[in-house]
Amino acid sequence: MRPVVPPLTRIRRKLVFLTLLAAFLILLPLSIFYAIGYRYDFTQPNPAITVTGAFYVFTDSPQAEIFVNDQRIENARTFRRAFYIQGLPPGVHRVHVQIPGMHTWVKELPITPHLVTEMEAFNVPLVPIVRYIPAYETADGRAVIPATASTTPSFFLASSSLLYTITTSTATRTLAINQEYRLLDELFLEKASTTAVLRAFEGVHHATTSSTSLSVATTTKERDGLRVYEQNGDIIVERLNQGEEPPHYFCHTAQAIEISVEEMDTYGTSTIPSRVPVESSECRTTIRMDRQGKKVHDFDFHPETPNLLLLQLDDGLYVVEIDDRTWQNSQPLYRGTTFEFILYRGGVFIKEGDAIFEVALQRTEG
Amino acid sequence: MKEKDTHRRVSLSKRGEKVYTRFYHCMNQETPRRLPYAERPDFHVGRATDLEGRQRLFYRFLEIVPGVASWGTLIGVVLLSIYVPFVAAYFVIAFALYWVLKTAFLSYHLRYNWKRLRHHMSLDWKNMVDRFSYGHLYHVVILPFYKEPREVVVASLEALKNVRYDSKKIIVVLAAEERAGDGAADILAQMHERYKDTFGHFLTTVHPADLPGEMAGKGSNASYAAEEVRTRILDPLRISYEEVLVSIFDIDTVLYPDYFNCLVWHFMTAENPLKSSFQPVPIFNNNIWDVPAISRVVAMSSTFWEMIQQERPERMATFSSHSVSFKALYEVGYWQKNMVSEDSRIFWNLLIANNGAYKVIPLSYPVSMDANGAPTLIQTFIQIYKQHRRWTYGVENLCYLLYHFTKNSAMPRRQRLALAFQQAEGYWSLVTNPIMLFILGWAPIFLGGQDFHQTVLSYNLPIMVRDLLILAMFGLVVSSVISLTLIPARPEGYSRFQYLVMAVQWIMIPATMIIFSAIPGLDAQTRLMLGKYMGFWVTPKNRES
Repeated sequence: MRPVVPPLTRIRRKLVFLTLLAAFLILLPLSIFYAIGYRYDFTQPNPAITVTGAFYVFTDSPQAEIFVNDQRIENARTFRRAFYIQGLPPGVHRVHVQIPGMHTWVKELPITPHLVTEMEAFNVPLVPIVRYIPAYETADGRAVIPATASTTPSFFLASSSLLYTITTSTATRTLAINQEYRLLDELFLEKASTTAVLRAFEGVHHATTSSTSLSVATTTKERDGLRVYEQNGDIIVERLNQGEEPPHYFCHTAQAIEISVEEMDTYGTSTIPSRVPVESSECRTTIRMDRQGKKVHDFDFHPETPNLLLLQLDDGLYVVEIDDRTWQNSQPLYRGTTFEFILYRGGVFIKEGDAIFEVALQRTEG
Repeated sequence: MKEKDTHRRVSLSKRGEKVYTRFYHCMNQETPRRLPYAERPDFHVGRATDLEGRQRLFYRFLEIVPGVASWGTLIGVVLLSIYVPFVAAYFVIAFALYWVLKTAFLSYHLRYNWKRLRHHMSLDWKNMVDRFSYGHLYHVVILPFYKEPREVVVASLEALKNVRYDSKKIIVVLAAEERAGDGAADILAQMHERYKDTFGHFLTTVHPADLPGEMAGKGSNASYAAEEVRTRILDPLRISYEEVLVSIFDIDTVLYPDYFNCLVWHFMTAENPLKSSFQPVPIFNNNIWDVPAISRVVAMSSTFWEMIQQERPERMATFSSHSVSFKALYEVGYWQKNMVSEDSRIFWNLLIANNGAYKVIPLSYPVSMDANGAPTLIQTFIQIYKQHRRWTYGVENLCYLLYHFTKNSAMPRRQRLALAFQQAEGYWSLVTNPIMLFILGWAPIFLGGQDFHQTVLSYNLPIMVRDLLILAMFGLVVSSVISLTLIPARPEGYSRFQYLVMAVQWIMIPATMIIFSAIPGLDAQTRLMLGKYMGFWVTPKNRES
């Protein structure tokens, strides 16, 4: 049997130490350069070090597929429900987020070296998904829809998995009153009367109290440091709390971006308008919403995020993003011409005629 | 000097050849004395208040330095993240990379010592020492105890009784504390009755309470016991101090059968056996199957650290159970009686008193001790925390050695500088590294401001740190495997599922490093910094099997 084993010799330990020290001295600058965006592209015919930037895309759906310049991004690192796509060369890149059965969200944004361009994608169902809220129910809980309704609600054109009965009878003694319908009906009535009061109040208030007022708002909504109001027919989003960090889309300024030679064929010009990041001290305070030349009948924040608005335009209810870099994505949530909507407990409810129903904001699984 | 008796000492040359050295044992030896440096009035300083004047101020300054350095580092990282987040981010990346490589470096040492340990445990040490003439050697085993249960004491003595060594050459000292009360006194009487004829001598001592200048604790008790041994056994029997090896064990220490043979082998082959301490590897196996997973992880981590240190003997100080010649002990006045971490302090006493010509010899042979376990999980957590706070209060030794390094110019300067740096770095990194790595690594991301937040660096920072930490965690696989080889066989009645738990439990390492290492260390350093000196806290022993 071997005799006792001595401890590691100092020479051997020193050798290991020096090897690891050398590894540290080599890896550290490489790590830092990688971390700040430098990349060495081995796949290029003439490999060179390039300075890159990144996209950071928020999306609510786990089924979302991210494409940059029409190439699907695989294994993009994920933070919570976001995609981080790094190693992108400077220039304008097209990002689109698609989900089966949903509208596609598209954005073209520039990549700035060493910087991350954030964006929030959203996808609304192609076919509106509604949940009809009947005024009455049968004893076994089945919704009852009167066939004598003066108008055919548009939701008949939408998707619903609710079982319902159409009745020609006007007798309701044998039916159960749906309390949810009653509550929502009252909320709609309340909103109608409140809006009228607010219109009167704010019209007087702004005329008599504000000497520098730029707007005479019909209604004003505030949420998470943002205020939305109507001004001369336009919807304006104003940033409150100037001292706090603003949403990223406020901190850009318009600038013509030079594009590559290949892209000139597409755009027919050497530069395209875009927005580039600015210092935090230069962030804007207001953004005007794109109402597509239509009249805005009503508006509110999206229940799930302050970065989206619900705009009721002439032909329907739209989800519109506040982020106005390049363009503002707008996706129809519900099409119709004569309806009202309210937000209640995180849901969007529509009243069309006597019918009330909830519109799904995203597609459920299955 | 009259030649009375001679014996050969065998050592190994660099080529592994046996070298026989004859030396002489003098009959009329001079009475051993304290070393000159140990005669200094400040040699056994425990805290600044033990000194006067400028020395006191200087020592107080040294007590403040570790806490300031640690807090300064932690606060500095936060401030750096706020005001210069880019620099903070670069520092975090560099630190994470350093951590990975350091883990690899330490893991290399750990694996080597693991192989060495297993090999040493397989050797027939009895056979190996038989080539020496060592019959003249005595072993004094000091077992200080306080209020530990009777069964803990019995287990240690039974293990001692069953070692593969001539028990008549073992002098056992069961050292009780007067302030422990009648319970301890009863145990003393029972153990004396039971073991008085088992060993060469079985001495029981009762350390008086409230002696002036002493802090209640293991150091004062052990020193009292050592002096009792000298006056009641060694001197009357004219046993030379050079021929006595003192082993001080915690009362829960269970010896492996060949401990003394292994110790004798290392003593007989050491270059300067009387200027060396001998350090075994503490493995907390006595109750490893009975304690919670968190306790096992913490205990095994301590074992691993000692195993790593065994491969770096020039950095070692003694820890917990260890052995040393009585002569060396006597020359420095035994263990200090006025401070907490007497197990490490004795080494620094010996090193400084011998002007740097003293070292620790790693035995790479285990002794088994108790892991922390209490009746409830919360109590276990508290006990582990307090124990580690006491261990990390060993930072008081840094103050001691820095103080005496400025006083003892006979010690080589290079050695002083190297040791000062190693010890300072050790106490600083113990406290700051886990916190910086697992908590403050995210500081630039949260505190960096918007201009930093929109950079690629701020997004890549958590990804890189996470990936580097995952890389470092591969070392846990090694730890897991090694720990499974060191634990005793599964007792009857314990599920095989426990093996899986023991393998997976290492996932708790990030949490234990912070909660039971860094934070108690910071607690201890802060107390020292503020002058809130700690006393000795006795770890309660609870053993089910």
